[in-house]
Amino acid sequence: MSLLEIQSVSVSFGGLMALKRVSFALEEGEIVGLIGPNGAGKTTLFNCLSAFQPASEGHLRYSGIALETLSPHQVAALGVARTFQTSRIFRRMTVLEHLLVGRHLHQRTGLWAAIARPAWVAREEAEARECGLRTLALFEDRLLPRLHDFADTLSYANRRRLEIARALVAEPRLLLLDEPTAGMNPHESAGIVQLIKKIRDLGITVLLIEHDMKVIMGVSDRIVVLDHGEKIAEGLPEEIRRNEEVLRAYMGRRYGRA
Amino acid sequence: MLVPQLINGLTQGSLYALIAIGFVIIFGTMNLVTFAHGEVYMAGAFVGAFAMSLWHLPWFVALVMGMAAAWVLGFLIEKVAFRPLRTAGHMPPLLITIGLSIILKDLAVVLFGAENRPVPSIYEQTVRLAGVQVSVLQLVILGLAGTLFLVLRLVIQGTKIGRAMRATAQDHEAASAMGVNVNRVFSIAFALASCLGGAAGVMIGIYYNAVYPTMGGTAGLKGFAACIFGGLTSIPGAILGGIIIGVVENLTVQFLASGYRDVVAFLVMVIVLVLRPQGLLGRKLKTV
Amino acid sequence: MKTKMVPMLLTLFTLLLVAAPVAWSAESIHIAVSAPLTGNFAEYGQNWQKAISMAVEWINAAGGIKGRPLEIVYGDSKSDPKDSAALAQKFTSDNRIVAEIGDFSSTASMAAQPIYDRAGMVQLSPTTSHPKWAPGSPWSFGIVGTQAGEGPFMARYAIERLGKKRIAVLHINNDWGIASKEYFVNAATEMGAQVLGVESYFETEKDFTGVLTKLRGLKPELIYVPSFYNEMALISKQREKLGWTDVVVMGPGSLYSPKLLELGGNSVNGLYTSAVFFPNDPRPEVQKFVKGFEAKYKATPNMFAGVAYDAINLMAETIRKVGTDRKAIRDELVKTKNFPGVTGKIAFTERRDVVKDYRHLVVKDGQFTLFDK
Repeated sequence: MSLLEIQSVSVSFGGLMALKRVSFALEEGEIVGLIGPNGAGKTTLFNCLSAFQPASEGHLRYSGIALETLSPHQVAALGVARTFQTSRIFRRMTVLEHLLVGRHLHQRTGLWAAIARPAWVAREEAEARECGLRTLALFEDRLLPRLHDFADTLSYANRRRLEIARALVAEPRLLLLDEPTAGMNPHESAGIVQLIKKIRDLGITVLLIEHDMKVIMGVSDRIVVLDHGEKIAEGLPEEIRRNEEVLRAYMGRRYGRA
Repeated sequence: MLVPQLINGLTQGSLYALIAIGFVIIFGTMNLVTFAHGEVYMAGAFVGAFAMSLWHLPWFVALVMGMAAAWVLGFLIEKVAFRPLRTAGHMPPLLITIGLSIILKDLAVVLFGAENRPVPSIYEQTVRLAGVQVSVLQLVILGLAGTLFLVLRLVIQGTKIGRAMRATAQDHEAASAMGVNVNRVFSIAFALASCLGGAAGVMIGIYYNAVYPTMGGTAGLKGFAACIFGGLTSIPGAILGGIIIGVVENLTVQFLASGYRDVVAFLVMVIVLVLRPQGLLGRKLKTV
Repeated sequence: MKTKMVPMLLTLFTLLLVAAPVAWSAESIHIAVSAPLTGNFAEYGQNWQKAISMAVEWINAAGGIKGRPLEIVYGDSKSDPKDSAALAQKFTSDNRIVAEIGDFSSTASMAAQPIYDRAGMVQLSPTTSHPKWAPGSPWSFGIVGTQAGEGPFMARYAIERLGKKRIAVLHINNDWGIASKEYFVNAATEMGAQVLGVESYFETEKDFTGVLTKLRGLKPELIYVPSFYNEMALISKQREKLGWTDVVVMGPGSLYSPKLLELGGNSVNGLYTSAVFFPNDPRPEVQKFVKGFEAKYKATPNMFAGVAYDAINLMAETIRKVGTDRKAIRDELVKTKNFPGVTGKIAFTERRDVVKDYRHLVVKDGQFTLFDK
């Protein structure tokens, strides 16, 4: 059984079809790139997967469980973490606090425990902190020295890294990354490629939206191409590079407009 | 008479602060203002008063009952009035709470009558502390308010629930992607805020020996003012704001006339807000 | 929990149900009542409403006024001058209405006064006691007595009967409270007392700790508190809690109500006041009213109920004599010399108010008793 099965999923916004019967599957441990011109429906598909956007039709199966009827926090609880296309950090929280929020699903301190503070609450906090620090180590010295800085003081690239870190501390099985290198310079982007490989080595399956072809080609095991809400191609990076329809979709868009 | 007036102000102010914290929690989590908070406080006060005068329960049982009732009421208000309107913007929930405030007030008039309801006196004795006669009840109220501030600090600081509340306030979609059940956080925040309001209500009923349906109006206004004064999203700010308002009011009574108490209290607030628009302990940057 | 509203509503409904089928041969006579049925003074307005409803019920059960049923048109003024003036416009332009009873506070009554004056309709207030009220218009009547009479009476009580010379005043900040304070302070100063300080509070105030702490610093022997029983109960309890026991508390007849004892508990023991209405007055008209009220509402009527009951009965009696012409009613009302009210004999002075006969009272063991030292 595949980890994620997307079966003929459609989404319409008031008659406009953002996704048209899209189907593909993700196997455990894969890195799959999701590409396509602007407005192809990539982020809409992410929103469907994380239950922010209901699918008009079709099925989403995550290790056999139907995602359509769940709320975002329930999907997260199944082990699906995501980042957002535009940075969605908590601006008035420190780097460390982001990681602790990321541990939300692994903590059980409710209201009463928070008041009564039995010994295990302190242990739980310490564990979350430790896990956060372990995760930050993946980013080398980018975030660790800024542990107690508020997120809105971070550089743009560090905010993107922080978002990934926040998703990672949740220990997901599936990670959805929405344009993680947007706005980064080539050097920083190369770092993200290394990072994504490290993430896969942790046993996490990655679905990646990316515009930077260097990143996509460098990291993806397989690539799925969307255009105007439809899947127009799926295959190995080499196959996609040579796919005529994909070229037309990109070229047509670029030159057709002029 | 200065020291007794300071104690009067401190007692009064700590109760304003409890109400103000409710506004801070609700605004800080949901980015919404509720105008029914004063009526939740009134409801808590009535439950506490009934517990003491009709069922002859000890005051601390009455306090717990008042807090529990306010908790339930807050929980219901959030479910009925706020949840269905989550995506409707700021205005509709605001109007709903104004409506709810009127409904709750009038319901209390119909059910309990418009008149003051007496609340039995407790701790009528006074003690001398460093030569100053101090009401034991005032000390009890100060102690209780202080305890509630500490408990709240425990809940908000350094635990899952407190972080979830703050994260939800700043970006509820991102928070839900982290597994935070946003609806549950809203429920808890609203109920917690209401519960503190209910505690203030029970204590004020005991302090002034009276509860009445319109009591939420002024109290809600003062609490809201203290919340803005303190910086809108800062709990220590709300506490400081409430206490300053209480103390300034009582000093005004002492050195001017009691008719000026609200005028001077609000004047001080306006001056501070002109000099420091973000409030006493508010942050310069707009949250969210 | 037992509520006050339920029996009242039930009575109203029953009245509607029972009264409707009775075929009155003639048209109703309408009298308007402008009263605070909601808002901060709602309970006083509700006292009126109870007494007036009962009186009307009795009048109609006895055949109405010359075969015509009496009907009350209630208007809720909240005792707010804006609302009482608006109600005055409404009532005076309604041709069915022959006279008006109200409003509760001096402020609300006086705001409506010019409108009744221009329209030529009697405005009979059960409670307005501002000395400038009744002389303000030939159409205005007051039956509760004025502070011009009460203030000096209370000052004499404090200074001559109790021998207190160092006095502080804490009054409610409205027209009534200010006038009440002035008459008392002027009379007390004339009698040689020292008025150490005067403080006021707003109608909605519940926190008196600050102002009491301040007054305490002046070390008065007596504080005179023109207020209503609700605030007086709070003032007394808060005074007690602050440990301020070496002072005598006194206030005008507005405090005389069983509610003061119920709300104030032990803290109002030793409080001096006066009264124009005594539920245990043996006069038959008083006993008929008190028994009827107790049977109907399971509560002893207070002064507010008493004056409202007198107002409606006086009005009904006047209409019985001269009919429903607005002017004729006024001209007859002015002549009232010997109306046996439950709050004492009603005889209008040429200023169209009355001089009441007060009793010296003191609260003893949780009961109002005559002060006879």
